[in-house]
Amino acid sequence: MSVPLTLLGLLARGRPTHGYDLKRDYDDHFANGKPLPYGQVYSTLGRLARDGKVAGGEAEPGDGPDRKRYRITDLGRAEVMAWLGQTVEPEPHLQTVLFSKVVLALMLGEDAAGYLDAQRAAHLRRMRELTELKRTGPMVDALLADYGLFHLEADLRWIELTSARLTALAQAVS
Amino acid sequence: MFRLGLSLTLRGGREAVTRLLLTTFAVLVGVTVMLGVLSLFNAYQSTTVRQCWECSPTTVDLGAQGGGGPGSPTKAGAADAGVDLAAVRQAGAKELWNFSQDFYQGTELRRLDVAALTADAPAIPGTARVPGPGEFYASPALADLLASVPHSQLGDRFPGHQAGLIGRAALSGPDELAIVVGHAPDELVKRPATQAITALSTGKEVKGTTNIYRFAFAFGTVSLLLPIVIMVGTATRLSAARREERYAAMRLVGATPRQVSVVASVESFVGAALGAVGGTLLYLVLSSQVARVNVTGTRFFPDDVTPRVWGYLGVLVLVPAAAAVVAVRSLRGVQYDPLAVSRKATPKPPTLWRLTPLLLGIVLFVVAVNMSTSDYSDLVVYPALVFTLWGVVSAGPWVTMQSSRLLARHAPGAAATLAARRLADNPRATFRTVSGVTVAVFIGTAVAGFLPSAVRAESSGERAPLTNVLRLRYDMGGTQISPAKSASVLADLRAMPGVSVIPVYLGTDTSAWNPDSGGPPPEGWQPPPQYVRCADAKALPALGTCAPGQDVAMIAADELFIDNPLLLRLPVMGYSDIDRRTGAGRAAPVPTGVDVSQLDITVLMVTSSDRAALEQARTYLDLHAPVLLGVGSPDQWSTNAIGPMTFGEVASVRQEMLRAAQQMIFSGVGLTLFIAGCSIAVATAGSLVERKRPFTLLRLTGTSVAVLRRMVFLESALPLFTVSAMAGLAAYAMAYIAVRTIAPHAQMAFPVEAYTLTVAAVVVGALAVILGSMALLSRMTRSENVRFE
Amino acid sequence: MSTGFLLEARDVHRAFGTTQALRGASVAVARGEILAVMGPSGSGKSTLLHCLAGIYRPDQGEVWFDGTRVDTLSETKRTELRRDAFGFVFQFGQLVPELTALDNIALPLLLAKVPRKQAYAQAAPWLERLGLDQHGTHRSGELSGGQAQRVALARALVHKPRLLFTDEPTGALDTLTGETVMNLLVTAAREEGTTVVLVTHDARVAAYADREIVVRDGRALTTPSSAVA
Repeated sequence: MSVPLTLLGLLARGRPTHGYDLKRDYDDHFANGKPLPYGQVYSTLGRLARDGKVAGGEAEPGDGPDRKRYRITDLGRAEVMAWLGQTVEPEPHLQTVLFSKVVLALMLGEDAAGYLDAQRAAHLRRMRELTELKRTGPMVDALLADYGLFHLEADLRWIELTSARLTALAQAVS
Repeated sequence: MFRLGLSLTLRGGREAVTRLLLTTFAVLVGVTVMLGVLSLFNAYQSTTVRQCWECSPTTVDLGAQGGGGPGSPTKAGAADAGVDLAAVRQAGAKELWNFSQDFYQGTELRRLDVAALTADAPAIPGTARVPGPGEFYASPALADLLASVPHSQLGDRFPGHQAGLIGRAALSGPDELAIVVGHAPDELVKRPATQAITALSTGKEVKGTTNIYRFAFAFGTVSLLLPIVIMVGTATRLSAARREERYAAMRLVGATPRQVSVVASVESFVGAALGAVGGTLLYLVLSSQVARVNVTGTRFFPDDVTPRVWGYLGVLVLVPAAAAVVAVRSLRGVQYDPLAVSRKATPKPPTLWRLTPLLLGIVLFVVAVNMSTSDYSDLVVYPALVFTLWGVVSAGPWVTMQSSRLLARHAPGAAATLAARRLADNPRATFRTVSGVTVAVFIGTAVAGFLPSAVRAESSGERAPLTNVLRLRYDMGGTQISPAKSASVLADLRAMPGVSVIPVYLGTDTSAWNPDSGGPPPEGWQPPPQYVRCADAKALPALGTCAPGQDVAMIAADELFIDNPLLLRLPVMGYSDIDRRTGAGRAAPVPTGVDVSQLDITVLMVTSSDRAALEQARTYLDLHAPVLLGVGSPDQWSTNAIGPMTFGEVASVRQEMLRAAQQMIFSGVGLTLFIAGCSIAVATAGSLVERKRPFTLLRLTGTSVAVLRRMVFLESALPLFTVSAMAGLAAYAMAYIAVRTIAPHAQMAFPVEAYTLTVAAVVVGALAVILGSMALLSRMTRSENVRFE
Repeated sequence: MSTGFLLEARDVHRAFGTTQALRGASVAVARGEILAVMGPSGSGKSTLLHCLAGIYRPDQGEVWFDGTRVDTLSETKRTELRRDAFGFVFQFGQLVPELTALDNIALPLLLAKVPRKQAYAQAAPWLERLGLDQHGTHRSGELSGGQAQRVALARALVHKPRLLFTDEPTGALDTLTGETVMNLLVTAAREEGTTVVLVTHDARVAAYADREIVVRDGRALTTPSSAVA
């Protein structure tokens, strides 16, 4: 789970956004019970600005620590898109990554279905390897392979279900 | 492929064996019945090819020489009772020939008097030669009678002694009465209506009933074959769904449609072939009984009752082949779709339109019986019958569906609901299994309602007293009894115990018109008056009554010789003539100054309550005052009512046709019922085998066998009884309408007892059949049998 | 057509009444390949299989098998093709219930008019090969689901087909039995060099294949082979 890429992704929606609003959006969709501390938001934004992936605007008058709006740069946008296009290395407990990618893709109007298809292919490729291992390897390896296979299968089933529900999901996050 | 089909049939486990047994059973029954019908048909056919030796023979032509009587060559000779022996000998005549019709106790007796003129005189078939003078040949049945009945009642009618038996070639059945009496030529020429002939007729028999029989046999055979075909079809289609699954599996792994057909037909063929062989064996065992079956009212010669070689061959080859074809046809759905694991579609429910043929038929029928005098009525009657019969079959599914809906609505309980649902789902298939019974009930009720009523109407009411009255008419080319002779004849007859005689005297014809001239009668011509003594007529009050003190009355005696007793109008005394169309009599004046003892007797009526005395009188009259017909052979008679017959015999000749039809129809109905019963058994057992799995599941989930049994029972019994009741009511209505129209005042002579007994037997039989096939049920659905393959 | 593919479908359409089951599906199967066809229920994957196997005729589009156009062949020719070149394993309902296991295995040979003795000689080794030695004389009603499926597999392979079509072959089996059947299927197919089209919605079954395609809304999607991050 990458906080910098997620924040970048949120900024990629286009509109320049206050750090405070970014934190709130993040907490709404991705926090999963663990809110992002303010400090981490600003330090991350700072690092992204340093790398030229975001640009901070003029500070605005008002209360609070930082009333600056951030917007994404072309460099930052490119990085988000590249990330979304990549499948995750198929391994157990991928839920958070898969999840944030799908939600972000939907928020950005990107091809979430294509992403899921690609991810399915990646999962299946991994399952094929494990199946082959199981068919040819010793029993102990087969046991381990089965463990992996069942978890990957669980992910795959989530992928299938999510694919089927994409339309409803897009309405929920937009 | 053949072996594969064979192994599927024979090694396919219990279910396959059950299926095989059912098919075999159905075909066995069907084949036995078919062979029986076929052999009776053959026996009947062989009677129709009998040479009609009593038909008009080839007479010698004397016209060229002019040696015979005046006018037409030989007819005139017959009328004049004068054959010029020398002339006919010269013209090449070989035989003198004289045919007459007689009766004994209601049975027709055919009598041929012959005299050989040459050595090669033609003998009738079944005899080696022409009997010489003083000899006669009798049919076996007549020979038995002659041996057992007093001569005064029968034997005295025939001069001479029995020289031998008439062989069966001349007869159509073993019970037939026939005789050939030999004479010396110069003796026989004196008998009126004798003809000189060169050859016997070689034509086939032309009975009025021949066409009816042929039609009835053809119709009966077809209507019997239909239920047989339905039954065999049901048997071969057993468990169609399961088999479709199997054949679809075979198609999937690459069996061509032809290979599937081969497997399917082998399976049906084996069952049908086993059944055909078994049925043939069963027929052979029963064949001696079949020969005793009395289909047309007269028995057949036993060795005529055989299916013949082609019958056996046809059954043994065609039946299995037909079964195979049926099996292949029932697979049409599978042929093109290897995935067709029968998608079950509920057929459209039958609509109210199905009642139209029935209504149309009944309307037509009402129209037909109301135009009964018209020549066109036949054109309406037959379509009406066809429509009504079709209507019953067509309305069946609709009635089945309606009754199942009623059942669903009003009979709560799992069994009723399940049965009603299944019936409503496919009422056609359900009705098909009971259609045979329905048709049989319809025909049986119609016949039972109509024929006995019609028959009784002919000899009931005002006509009843005439039944045992012998009537003889002497003006048809015979000699009237002259006053000189009449006294002794009347005295001899009256001397017989319990016999009374009513002579009718012929008045003198005052006009100069001679009917033999061939010209029309002059204007205002009246037939010569006929008289009867009031004292004589008292013996038969039905003829009418005289005024007190009256001595002699006019009588319209012609009316008494009408051949349809239903149209006989009584009384006849006091009338000179009766209009055939309106039945209105022309009142005649009371004759005065007539001395009947000076007049010829033209008609004699002899009554006796004792049939033996009646036969004695008939025998006496045969010898001393014979009625001789003006026309020689039966193929030329315009009516069957001129012989020395009683009124009852006139009616019975007429009824023979009706009785034979009735007999045949009842035989057909009985057989149809039997076949239909077997068909129901096959269908019920088949439906159980087919639904083994759902039934077992129902039992697993706690349904008791009793509920299942009730359900299966309702499924068969409900359509059986509702539709049969409908058919019976429709048929009774038709019979009622018909009887009331033909004889307006006739009572329905419905044979209530026989009918009730028959119906009860049919009902019990059908129930037994249904219950019997359910013996399978509890064993089949035991829960340890649950298997899901 | 001389592509390297053994079986190819191009833009296949097939409707059942008003239901459009396939709307332009294209697939290509290479020689010796095991291809999984995945997709949710009702996506049209079984229909696609039936079109590929020449059971259904597509309304539109072409199906080629080894240089022969299948969809235009007559019913008889397609039946022959199915009998000689294809084998089938379905979820259930494919054994002839009245026949024994051995009879069922020999059935395709008998249908192809192989002499009886030879057919049984050819069928018998499959019993051992699939661990059915004890069950040759049993009828299909006496076999367990897994055994019945193994008989079906033997029957599908006994005449050495070039293509094996399977539709949810483990759909009615538990995990372990299903695995056994799949192992046998893949092993046998590899040994015989048979190309396999494997229709399944089960990823663990699809994982036995070399490659998968997904059918969705009547279209076949070959998944992008994107790089793994």
